[in-house]
Amino acid sequence: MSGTTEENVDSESPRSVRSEGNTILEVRDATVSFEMERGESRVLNGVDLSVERDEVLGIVGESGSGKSMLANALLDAVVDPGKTSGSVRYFPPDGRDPIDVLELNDDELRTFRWEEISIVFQGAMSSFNPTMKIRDHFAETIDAHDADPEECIERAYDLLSELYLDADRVLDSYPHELSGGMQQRTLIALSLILEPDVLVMDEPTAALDLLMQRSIISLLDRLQREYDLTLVFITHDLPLVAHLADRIAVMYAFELAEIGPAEEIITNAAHPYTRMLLGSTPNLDAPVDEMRVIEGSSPDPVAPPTGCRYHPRCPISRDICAESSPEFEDVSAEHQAACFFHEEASDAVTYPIGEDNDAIETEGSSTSSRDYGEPILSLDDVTVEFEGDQSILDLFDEPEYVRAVDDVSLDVHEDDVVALVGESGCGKTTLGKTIIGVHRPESGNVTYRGQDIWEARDSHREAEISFSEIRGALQMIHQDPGSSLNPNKRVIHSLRKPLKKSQPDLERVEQERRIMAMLEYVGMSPPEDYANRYPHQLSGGEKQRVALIRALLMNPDVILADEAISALDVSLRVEMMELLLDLQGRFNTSFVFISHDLSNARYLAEKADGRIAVMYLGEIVEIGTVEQIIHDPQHPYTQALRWATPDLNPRNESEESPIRAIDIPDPKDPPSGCRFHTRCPEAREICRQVHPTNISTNGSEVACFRADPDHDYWDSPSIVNEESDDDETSMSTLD
Amino acid sequence: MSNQNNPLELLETTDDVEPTTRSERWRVWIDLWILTPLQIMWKDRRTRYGSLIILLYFMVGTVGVRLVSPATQNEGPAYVQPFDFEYTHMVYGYEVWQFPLGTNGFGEDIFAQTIHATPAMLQMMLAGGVFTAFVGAVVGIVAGYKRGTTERILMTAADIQIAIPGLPLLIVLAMALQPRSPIVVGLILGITSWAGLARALHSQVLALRSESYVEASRLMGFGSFPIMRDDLIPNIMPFIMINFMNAAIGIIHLSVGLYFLGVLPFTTDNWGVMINFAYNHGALLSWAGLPWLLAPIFAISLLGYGITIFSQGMDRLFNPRVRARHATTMDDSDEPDPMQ
Amino acid sequence: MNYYVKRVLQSLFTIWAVLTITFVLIRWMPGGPLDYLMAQFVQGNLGPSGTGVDTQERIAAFERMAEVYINFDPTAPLYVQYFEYVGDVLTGNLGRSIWYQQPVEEVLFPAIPWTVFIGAVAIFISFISRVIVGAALAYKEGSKLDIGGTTLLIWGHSIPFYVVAILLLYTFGYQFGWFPVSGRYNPDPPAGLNWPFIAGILHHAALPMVALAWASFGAGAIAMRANAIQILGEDYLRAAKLRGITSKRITLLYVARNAILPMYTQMLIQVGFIFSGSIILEMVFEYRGVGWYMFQAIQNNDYPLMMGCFLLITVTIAIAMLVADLTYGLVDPRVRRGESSESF
Repeated sequence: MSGTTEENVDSESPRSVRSEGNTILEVRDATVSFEMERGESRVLNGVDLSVERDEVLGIVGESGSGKSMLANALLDAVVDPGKTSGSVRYFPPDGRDPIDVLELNDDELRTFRWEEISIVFQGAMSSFNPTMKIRDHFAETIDAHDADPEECIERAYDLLSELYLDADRVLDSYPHELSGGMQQRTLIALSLILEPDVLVMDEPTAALDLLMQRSIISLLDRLQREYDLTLVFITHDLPLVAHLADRIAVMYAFELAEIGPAEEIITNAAHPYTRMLLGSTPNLDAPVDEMRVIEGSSPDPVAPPTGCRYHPRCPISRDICAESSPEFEDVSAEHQAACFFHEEASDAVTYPIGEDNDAIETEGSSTSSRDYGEPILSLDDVTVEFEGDQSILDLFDEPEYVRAVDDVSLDVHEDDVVALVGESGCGKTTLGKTIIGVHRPESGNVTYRGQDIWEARDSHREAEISFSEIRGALQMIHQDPGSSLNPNKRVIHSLRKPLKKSQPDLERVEQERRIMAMLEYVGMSPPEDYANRYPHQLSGGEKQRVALIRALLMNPDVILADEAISALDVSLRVEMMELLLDLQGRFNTSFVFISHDLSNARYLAEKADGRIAVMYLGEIVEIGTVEQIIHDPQHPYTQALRWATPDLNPRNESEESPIRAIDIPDPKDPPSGCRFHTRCPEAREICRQVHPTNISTNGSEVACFRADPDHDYWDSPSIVNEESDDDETSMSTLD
Repeated sequence: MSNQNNPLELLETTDDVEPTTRSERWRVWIDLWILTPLQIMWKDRRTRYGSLIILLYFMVGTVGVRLVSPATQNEGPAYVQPFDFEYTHMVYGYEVWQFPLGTNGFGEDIFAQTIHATPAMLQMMLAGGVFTAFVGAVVGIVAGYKRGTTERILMTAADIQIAIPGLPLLIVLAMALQPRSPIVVGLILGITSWAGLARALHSQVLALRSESYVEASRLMGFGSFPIMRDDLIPNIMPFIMINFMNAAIGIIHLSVGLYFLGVLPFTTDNWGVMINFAYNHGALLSWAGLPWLLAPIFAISLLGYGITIFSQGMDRLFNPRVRARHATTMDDSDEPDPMQ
Repeated sequence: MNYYVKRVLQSLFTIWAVLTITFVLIRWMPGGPLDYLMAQFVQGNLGPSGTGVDTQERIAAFERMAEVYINFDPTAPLYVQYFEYVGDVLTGNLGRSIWYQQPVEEVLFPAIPWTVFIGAVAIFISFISRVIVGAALAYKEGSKLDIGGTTLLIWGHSIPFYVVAILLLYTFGYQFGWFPVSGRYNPDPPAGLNWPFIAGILHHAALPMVALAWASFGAGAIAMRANAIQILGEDYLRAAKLRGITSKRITLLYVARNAILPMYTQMLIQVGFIFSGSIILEMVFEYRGVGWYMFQAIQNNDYPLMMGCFLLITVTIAIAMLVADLTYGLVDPRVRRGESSESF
């Protein structure tokens, strides 16, 4: 993409410096309220905010902080029966009179939205009409605004191809035929079709993989400059916007807590909440010991705390905080915080970013000095297949098989942590379930303490270790807290079940005593109260803790934690991981931890001195200690994941994308040779033809020719700049 | 690797948990399973009226038949109109209508006929409903949970049953078997309706069995039976109950239809038989026949309406959220509403 | 195996199963076709009668007769009976009606168009009206109109359609005299493509059509209301509004389309219901369609005709359900992808 040189030069200058009077959106005392049986629920409370022309404003907050309501209020799009009050003024770029958005009638709103401001919602899948082709979505939007169809369709083609999509294919598809990442990018194109000046994005990437998230952020960065967009980007994920945003606003409990230039917010946050949020976010650079847990939970919109809304959770709160609510105070010229004691916050609440973290390199360098001994579980050349989809056309074809796991070998030792990392669809959950004997492999062996699991199952009682014993020793915590507990049973009932299995002779009183002790131990107190609750009376984090106890009461050797923390709020994740680690040490249990997030994997694996395994399309492409995977990744895919993992340090300038294609290839028909060659920045001719085997380099194993300095690879011609025929989403020219 | 130093022993807490006493558990049980459901039923308009209507039919079927003497031919003139004060008799010292709903073309009391048809209809309905719900639930749950050959066989049987049209099959069966007992009639009518429920439950169970908590139970080593009992059935019980009620309505409609067609032997008073007689014996020819026709029709549709609205409010009864809010033995701490 | 092949095989299997069931019923039903035929024969009502015919000949005559009426010879080995029966039915030979003394297919086939005519129009009326009523109630969800309308619909659903048929016949046929109370057409104008004749047909068919449309109206409208309410809460609807799409287009292409599509399968399955429900309906209106003949067959113990009707209805339903399943993918783009691939 050429022709962006000028803008590029422009963007070199610090974006946070803006000239006065350049405001495009001015929000004054914006309030959104819902009438509820319990009383008025104010889900946005008196927010003042100015959005500058051509800036990227990141609005950050946890779920339930009111950030989505703010996004909706900008377009006067709060759903009924919510009421929006205050004022939102829009200053058109061509010098027309300012528009009071909340005063517009329906017809005026209809033209205002999408032509001046448009919005992208979180769930791309649910933003398209499932029975209408993508092309019709574009056409009807153009039609509804009486825009020039030819010009707009041309723009649609441009936008789609700039977002690395094959425009013809996308336009002629139904929504469900596109992957989540493709849908999200299509939605972005649809929102820009009428050339709005402001684009509001409400958690546009939350449901996507990190690599996809990061790729979209890169694309947005460029689109914003190319189309002179003002971007309001709403997210729960502070590191994600850290590099994209010019300014960041932090919301807490339906109010703005702090606003300022991105770099300042990250290096020198003034509000204690922001500092806690920054400290509790796992990231790759900060030493793990310095990450914190935010105590307490978000307030209720009907009865928020008096005074400063953060005071019940704030470590430096004093009497005045409970009595009166703080006004915005200047921290610096462009940086304000709503805190009486913001000057003290930096000493009271520390977080690792902004400080020098050279220390990590030396401190965390405990290379694989561990003596593992006999493995508990061992996988030997395991392959797992699934029957693939069928289309209406192949009436008589044999069904296709998807190799979800292809020829994987792995050992899990006593007191071990193995973190499986990869994009969704890479087979990590299947591999995890194969490890604990849920999926039966098509070929290869899974052995538990020397006993083949599936042999034990088939031969019933003759095996050395019976299948039921193996079954009990391998447990699992699932991803979705919502379905992890039987909704019809109380907590105590769900927790009695494992005890009935693991210790059938235990008396009822003793059972209850143990359950209560465990509940108390994981911080659910008073335990008698929690024991009698139904799952719907627990929060997501509490449900996951009950699921964890349930697994532990089986007294297992290995627990598979399948994305067990990704559904939790950012501030709860570290807490849950801490609990896992604590219990691991106490009960001598090994964990297989599945995550798409390298920083979570790193947090857990580093603290437990475990390993990280990186998966791509059914294969483990690299496995090693944290030190090796995080600080010295060998495989280009690991490097890509490393790039995609947001980090907070603003000095780590965002490098250009290391992958050539955004979308993951069809797992039914994986690429020949090295499966990563279609996206690999280092791919050469040989990668297309020969499948690399694992190469050991000082303790870690890598499936890449580049790890072998004498390999033929180095003589093979590069295929990076080649236009491959099927590759519509080539990213090689990004930035 | 049995209990070599059970790590759970590590967790000793000093304060002992008070064991719950037997009587306390009883109190909780009664509260949870009797008081709370009644309370919830009363609170919702649909379940309140629905249960009142069902209760009314039950009372008519048990007590009503003892209070009202059966109809006999020529007990009055033909086609007496409803609420006609010319015909009265004394009941417990009060003068009331002798034929509250008038008489039919044979001079029979329509009110008495309608009342005396109730017990047989209720028996039919119950027998057919229970049969449908039981067979449908067993087939659907087992097929959904067991998978493999069991699933294929059961679902093929259900699909064939669905494909065979109900009414003609019943006509053929009724002609062949000539059932006389209302309960047997109910069971035969149930033959045509279990398959639909089995198919619907099958897909529900398929969805449920991949829920995390079911997989967790499997991983703990629980067998099929405890998983179906604890994890599956409680969650599909509302669905089964609603289908039980719909099946009951279907049984009434079918039986009335078959009696109307005259393929089932006429044994006792019966709403379908009443319609059949009215249709075939001249009720259609004048307005005077209207009560003869309307009385059974009203009886059928009121019962159907009562059951339908009751079943619509029913899922609330099984919903743990609603239950928890009403139970007194449980403290009421719902999560705050997440507004976004 | 492929889903479509599987589905076709399953339908064939169903038809085979029904054939077998009818064979079993004919062969062994106590007081059923075979016994009845035998009794009629012994009484001399059917077949050659009179004295002077020797036993051998009488048995041979009975065998010939059984062959004609129920398609198999009851004295032959069982498997021969079975194959004879199935073979005959598959070639369109459904036996001979005792009452009409005509081949069953000759009695039934001319009746099919009448039943199909009433059924098709009834489905159409019912479909349109429940979509409109259901959608209207959904748009007004929670209003007095919605509460009252839903109550009425449930009431309506609680009244069986044949009861409605009787009430319509009673009120508009007998009492007001607006519609004929029996028959399919007027005898006076000569049959043909002239307006008075066609008007007569419509006049006769009106009440049965309304009654039949009633059968699926209540439940269908409630289902449509629920579908529409769910779709009115979908994010894509909100997104479309924000994009400025007109409410007319949203109603048609977003709400209606997505709410109606799931009702497609249901609609085709009703084709089967029409044949099955026609038994009572056509009896009430004395309308000579397939159902009327089945009712006549029941009344007259005309077992070959009854079994013929049963087979005809069953096969129609099997085919309708097959068509519904096979074509649903063409109607609703969403189901084309089959099972989701979220399993790994």
